Amino acid sequence: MKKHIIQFSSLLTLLLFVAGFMILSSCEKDITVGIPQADKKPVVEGYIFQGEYATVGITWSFPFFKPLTGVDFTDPAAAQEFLVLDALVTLSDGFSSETLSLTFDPTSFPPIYYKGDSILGQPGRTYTLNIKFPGYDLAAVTTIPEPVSLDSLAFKVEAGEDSLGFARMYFQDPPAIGNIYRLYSKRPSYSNYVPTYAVGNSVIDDQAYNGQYIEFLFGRPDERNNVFVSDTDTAEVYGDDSGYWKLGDTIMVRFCTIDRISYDFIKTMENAAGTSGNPFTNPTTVKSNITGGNALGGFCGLSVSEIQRIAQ
Amino acid sequence: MHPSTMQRIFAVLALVLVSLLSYGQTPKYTISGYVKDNSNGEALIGVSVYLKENSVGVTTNTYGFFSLTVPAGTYTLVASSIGFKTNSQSITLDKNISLDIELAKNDITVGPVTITDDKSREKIESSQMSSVVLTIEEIKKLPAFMGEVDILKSISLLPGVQSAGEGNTGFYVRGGGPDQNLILLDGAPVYNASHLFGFFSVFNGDAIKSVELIKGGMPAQYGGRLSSVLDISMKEGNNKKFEVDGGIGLIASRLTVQGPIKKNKVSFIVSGRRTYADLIAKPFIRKDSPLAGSGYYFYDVNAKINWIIGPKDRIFLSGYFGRDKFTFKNQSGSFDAGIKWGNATATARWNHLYNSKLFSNLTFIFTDYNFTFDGSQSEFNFGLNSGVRDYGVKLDFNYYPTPKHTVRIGAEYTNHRYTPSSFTFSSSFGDILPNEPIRMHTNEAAIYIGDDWEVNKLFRVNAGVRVSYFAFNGPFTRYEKNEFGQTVDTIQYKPWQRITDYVRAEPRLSMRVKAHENIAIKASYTQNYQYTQLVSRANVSLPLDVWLPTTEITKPQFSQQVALGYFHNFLGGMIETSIEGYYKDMRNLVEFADGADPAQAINDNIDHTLVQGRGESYGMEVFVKKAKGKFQGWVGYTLAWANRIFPDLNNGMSFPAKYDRRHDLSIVATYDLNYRWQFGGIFVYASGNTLTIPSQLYFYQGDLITEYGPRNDYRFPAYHRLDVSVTYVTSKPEKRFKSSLTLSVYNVYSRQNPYFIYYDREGNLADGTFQLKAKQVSLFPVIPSLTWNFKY
Repeated sequence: MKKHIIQFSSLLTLLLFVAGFMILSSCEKDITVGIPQADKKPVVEGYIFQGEYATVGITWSFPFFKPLTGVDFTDPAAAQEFLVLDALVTLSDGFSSETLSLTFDPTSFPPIYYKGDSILGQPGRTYTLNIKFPGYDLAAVTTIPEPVSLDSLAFKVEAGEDSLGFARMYFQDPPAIGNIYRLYSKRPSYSNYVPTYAVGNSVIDDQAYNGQYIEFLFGRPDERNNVFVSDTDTAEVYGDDSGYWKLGDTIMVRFCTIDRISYDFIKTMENAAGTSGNPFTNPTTVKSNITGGNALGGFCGLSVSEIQRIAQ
Repeated sequence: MHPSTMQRIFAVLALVLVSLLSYGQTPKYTISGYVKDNSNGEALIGVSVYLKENSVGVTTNTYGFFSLTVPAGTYTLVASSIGFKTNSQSITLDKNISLDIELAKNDITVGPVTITDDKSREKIESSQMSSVVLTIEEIKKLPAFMGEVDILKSISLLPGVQSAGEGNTGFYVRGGGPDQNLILLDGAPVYNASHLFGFFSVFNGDAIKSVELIKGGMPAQYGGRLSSVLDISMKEGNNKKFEVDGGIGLIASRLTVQGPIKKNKVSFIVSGRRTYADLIAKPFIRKDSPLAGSGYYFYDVNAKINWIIGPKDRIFLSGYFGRDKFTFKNQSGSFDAGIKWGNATATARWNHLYNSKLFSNLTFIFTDYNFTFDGSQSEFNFGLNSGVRDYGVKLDFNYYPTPKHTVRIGAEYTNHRYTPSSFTFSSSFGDILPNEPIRMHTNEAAIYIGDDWEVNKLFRVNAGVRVSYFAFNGPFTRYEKNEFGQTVDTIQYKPWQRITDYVRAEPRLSMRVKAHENIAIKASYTQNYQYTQLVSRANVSLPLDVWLPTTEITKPQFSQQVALGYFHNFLGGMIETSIEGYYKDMRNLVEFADGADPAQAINDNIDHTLVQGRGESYGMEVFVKKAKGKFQGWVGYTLAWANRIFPDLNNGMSFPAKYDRRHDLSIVATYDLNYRWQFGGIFVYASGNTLTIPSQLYFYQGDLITEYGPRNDYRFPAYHRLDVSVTYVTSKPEKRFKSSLTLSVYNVYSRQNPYFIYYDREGNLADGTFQLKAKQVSLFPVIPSLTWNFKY
């Protein structure tokens, strides 16, 4: 049995937001919202993919209304305002442990992060991360579940379009309950895989379709978030085909499985990103799995299964 | 001892003895009947009917009925009510008398207003505290938003009652949510009393007779909601002559037709109202805006038939139907959406007089509230449907054994069917999900007994108890969860199979001590249970808010309230003043859990996404009213606190309720200069609503994520507004056709009162120009409107 699922409740919220905003935009003014001083918090963005070394980026949060003038990462003083560069980051998989070291990678954001060089992600293993730096002693635990592979991919041009459309992925959900997936995709020209939203989030819980043969629709994620794109580049980066796959594209998919804690974290994080600033929803609390201090972010383990197909 | 003193004592004793004996032997008779408006036969509620000689009296009930049992004799029977000339007549009570009293309206152009015993005495006499009655005449004098007389907006001008704010539906009473108010239209509960976006209430002023709001000391015949009862009575229909009223305004028009089908026996009233969509939106929509292809309208219809079958029986059939429709199309036409919203109610009531002391009312009730959202994008169609449908029956007895006791006994039963949030989905590929809407079925019942007892001239008590019962039944599929929130089992309940039930006792007590002719001190203590809630996802109220019942997981809401008040009338009842303090403790209040997702309702039960907690509200209400004369009005001020503690929200720490508003001030004034000119003005000031604001920003996966501060910690700027209205009567007083023109200006000094705040991204990081700016959106600037009202 096949199912199409699209997250339309977020569409509804968006609709009402748009409707309300549009009708009322003639009665709008800038105001100053006095926010009480709050301490900055460290944000941990850690991943360990099957077959890859662990990567952990640690950034600082900043006050909500602070103008961001960009960070020159080659300048140590500026970088330290934004990143934590003096942490001792250790990873253990229950058999061995290692210390992660700083790497500079201009294709990712943040461009400076900690990376492992001996422990590779393996399904079935539990990974413990420890992060120590002045004032903080943090820890996080994650597991990598067994991988599930995609059967196939397909592409269909949208009604009313010449060459643009959505891709589809097909797979068999294993009968046991509790399979959770994360979808990444990219074009060959992207430096990295980008999380792709299929059901309103890039993470999928099999609860609604356990044991079934599943079809999901997904669009093409943009390579960079628009806060990073200069106005002059916008047209080039976001062109007419923004959000769509195009005839002739090579659709590359990385299909991962994750554990429940990672799911809760990524889902709440994506919801928070999506509803940021929307007055019609309650603020989302992100379920971080970092313990030991007032820290944000998470550490997730993911299995990997890759597939690609040319859109035709 | 002096012999003459002895004789005097003996004489007095003998006299007392004889009079005691004769009192016991003097037969008692009952005088009963109905009080009506002589111009149209409408039953008058809350009229003070008493015997001048001994001040023994009662007030007429919802149907205008009164009953007094006193020893035989000759008395002067007085009936008085504000806005009407007091009626006095001599009666000789030597048998039971059934008598209807007709009161004539007080016409201000004819002579000075006599200030005698009347409505204002009600405040001092009655044991009911924390309640206000507003007649439609009083409400119609107030400046009307966009020319539409609005009952909900008018009651929010009273102390202790706060409007949910522009664009939000509902009102808050003493720190309780909008779902804690029992809104009854001729006995039928109305689940959503506002039209879409909360701009107008669903009640057409032309069809309404009067409105009673009870904020505390709720008597035992009412239940099912924690915070208040708003009992709205529809007009019965002029049973003396045909009457057509209406109004044409810039935003909406109304028409009411009423009259006798059989004079003095059967009457009807039909009332309708509709808005013109474009006119509302036009001033606000920019021509190039994507909203240009959208529309909105609403209409509502009230109808009633009133049949006096005989001296002992009356039947009333009333109905209400209203709908809102909003359509949206984006510019390219690829996205299409529509929202339909509305209520329908119907009641059939039978009044029966068993004898002159026992009045009964049997009501059959139907109410339905429904919200539907339909959208389509490309090949996909989706829908969201939510609502409540009730069938119910109520039997209520008013028993008047002696003038000192008015006993109410009754029972009621309601069957509820909830549709919490039913998704439907279909695509041109032929997939349809799900097959059936998800529903929840419950049964609610109650029995109650209460007595309003005048213990002596100084002390009056209203004591009662209500026992309520609630059952949650199948058909229903319960998904059982493990500690990780995964579904591990499903239980299928068959139709009418009981899943859980609750029996609760709700004692109600209020009392009045008359310290002086014009001074009363009142106190009350009540307990209430509520078996339903309206759960909201956002700070701003939305049609997405969903009505849910109590279940085996969601426990019944509970409140207990204690109130104390001081009431003082001045200048022979010209000025009424009161000051009341209250404390309310609420348990098992319901909110959505943090991060609850509407899509979780698929293959799950929606009540798994709810959390419960406690609430506390307390405050002081001051009220000064001038109820008579050419110049009338009131000042209401409330100082109040409302807090919540939920173990699962805000890290378990106490936070202000969404409705926590420290100060609320309303000043209302109307001035009837003469027959031609009337003026009205309203000034409101309220502390700002609460809001959760962001504190930090951080990056994750290249996205900007907002970290929020403590829940509801921030306050919007204060809300204040001035409205004025001028009415010019264009018709001549002696003519039957009456017409008047009303100019109403809303928000005279055009204050930009905040509706919501959002954060706009400016610039981008690549250019080093990124910043977030807070923007406040307001709804209504100054809005003038002109309405022409007529009556024939």
